[in-house]
Amino acid sequence: MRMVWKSLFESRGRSLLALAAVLVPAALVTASSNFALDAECKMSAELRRQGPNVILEVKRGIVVMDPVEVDRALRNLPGILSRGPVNRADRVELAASGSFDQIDAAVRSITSGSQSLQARTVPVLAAREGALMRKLHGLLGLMAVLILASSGLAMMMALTSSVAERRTEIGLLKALGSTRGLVLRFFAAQVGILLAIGVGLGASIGLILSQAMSMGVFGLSTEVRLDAVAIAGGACALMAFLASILPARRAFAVEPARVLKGE
Amino acid sequence: MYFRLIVESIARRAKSRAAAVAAVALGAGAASGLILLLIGVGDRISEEMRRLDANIEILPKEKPLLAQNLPMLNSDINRWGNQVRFAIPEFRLEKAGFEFVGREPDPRWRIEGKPGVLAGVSLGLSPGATINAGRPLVVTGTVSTGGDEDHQVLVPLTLAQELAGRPGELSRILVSATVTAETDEFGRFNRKEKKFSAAQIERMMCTPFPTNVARECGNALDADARVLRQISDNEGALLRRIDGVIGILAAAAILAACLSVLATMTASVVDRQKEIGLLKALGATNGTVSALFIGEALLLALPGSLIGYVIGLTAAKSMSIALFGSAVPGSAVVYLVTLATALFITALGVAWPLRRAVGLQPHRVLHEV
Repeated sequence: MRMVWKSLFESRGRSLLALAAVLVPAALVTASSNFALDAECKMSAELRRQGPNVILEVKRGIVVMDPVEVDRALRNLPGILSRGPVNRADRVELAASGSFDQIDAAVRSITSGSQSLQARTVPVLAAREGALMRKLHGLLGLMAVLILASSGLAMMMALTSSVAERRTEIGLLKALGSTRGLVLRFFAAQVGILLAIGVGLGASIGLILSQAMSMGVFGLSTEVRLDAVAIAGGACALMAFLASILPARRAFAVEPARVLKGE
Repeated sequence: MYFRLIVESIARRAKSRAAAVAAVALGAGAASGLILLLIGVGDRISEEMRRLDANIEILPKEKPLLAQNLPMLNSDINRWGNQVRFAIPEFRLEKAGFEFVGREPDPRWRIEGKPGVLAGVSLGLSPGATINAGRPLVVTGTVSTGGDEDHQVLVPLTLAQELAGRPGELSRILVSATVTAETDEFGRFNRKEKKFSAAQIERMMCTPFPTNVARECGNALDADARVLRQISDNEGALLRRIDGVIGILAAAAILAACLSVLATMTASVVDRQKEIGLLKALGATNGTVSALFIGEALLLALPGSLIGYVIGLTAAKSMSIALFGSAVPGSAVVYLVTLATALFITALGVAWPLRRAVGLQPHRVLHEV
């Protein structure tokens, strides 16, 4: 283990370079996934503020709503963004947050659970939001794939060149009698440390970046979406692992005699 | 000599050079494809959202509006006929305390029961109930929209006309047309706030702004037409947000593509220190070596970015058809931008490790050969 640290430390320049190669893509992936997921929620909230999506009204034969019943009914909904402009005693228009399935379930339980009130959703708005979200989903997914693929390629290339520079080191290890397993452990520990630091730092920088993006577009601070960060971190780690397979195979193919000939 | 050196170097390491071209092509393809796909994407998304909404209403002027004249909306008589997506004829009447609306139901409305006579949910009539409107009508289902329709009775158009005894007549036509959001300048033009040149007037009249389309639709049927829904400030804000979100993520994707090209190009130089040492030992100056390597990289980036643009254009077209149902046109500007960026990134990716490589003493590098 001491050898690993020493090797990383002694070649500070290229270690830092490889670290940057992991860190920058990790930051990009984290920032964009956190921002994209958060943006979808914010867009949907924004859209709902433009008009009511739930109507709460009296059941047939009842003239005025009972405020206590209304309060109880409203607690069923996942969240209320605004109450509509219509100010009538027998009807309230609401913009509710949450997914349409959640709202649908809440609406059904209000209608069946209350003596005097019934609720229903506004289907046109749901259709409109559905259309918007489908398109956004498609576009954001496309960009996620592009970002992941390019970042993976960048990581792979950077790791390849960092291994290419380390050929003599690996050759020396082999010449001094290291087994395959030892070289593997040595290499894995080096890459592992770089990846852990790179992905960890990258994810934190990515979160700061996504905060900046969110401020720029929405003027609101972003929420840290743990699922997004977990997915991004996992994807980066997996990607880096895959990206290091090729350079690792090249490292094991090193023939000590050829590499060390000149020394 | 210079070119021969470069060409031979490329030919000698054909495999790794092909990888470099592929990296540039993929990066340039991703970047140019995204740019092509995302030009004006906010408008297209909002268009998609509003595709089923009517934005113009046509009302009778002096003469009654006749159903038989409806095809004129799409004919040559209407200058903006091609912009009309669909038109819904409607006939309304009040009878026996109910408001009857004769029209096709909107596909987004929630209809329960069989089509036919549909009672708005707020009326509290369940299927099977009878409405007496001159003649008995049996309710076949209910309709829920969250709008005025909740208090109305929705019937087929011909039935409504029969109930009123005015066959073939319409009280309103709802039109959904493809329009461009009105600009502030068009607002000033409409209110005649200032003098406009002939060319400007021409431009104002030849853009499918809602007001223009509505006017022509009305003229075609000799009726009044008005714009139902202008794009509100709220919606404009939403559109800007869509553009912002997508723009930022596209920038991130393009940055990532640049990074991958940068890393590939850097990796291609790191391997070649010995070559550099040899060149220097044979008397090449740092400048010559740099010129050789950068020239070689640019020669690779040129076909790479061209292939990339073609890939990007093809991908953007098929994505656009899948997402929006229409293709995107190619753009020379985007190609030039892609080319310039690819060349710049490539040169940067090579120049950076070169700086270190040319600084090395030839004898140290060559010692290992």
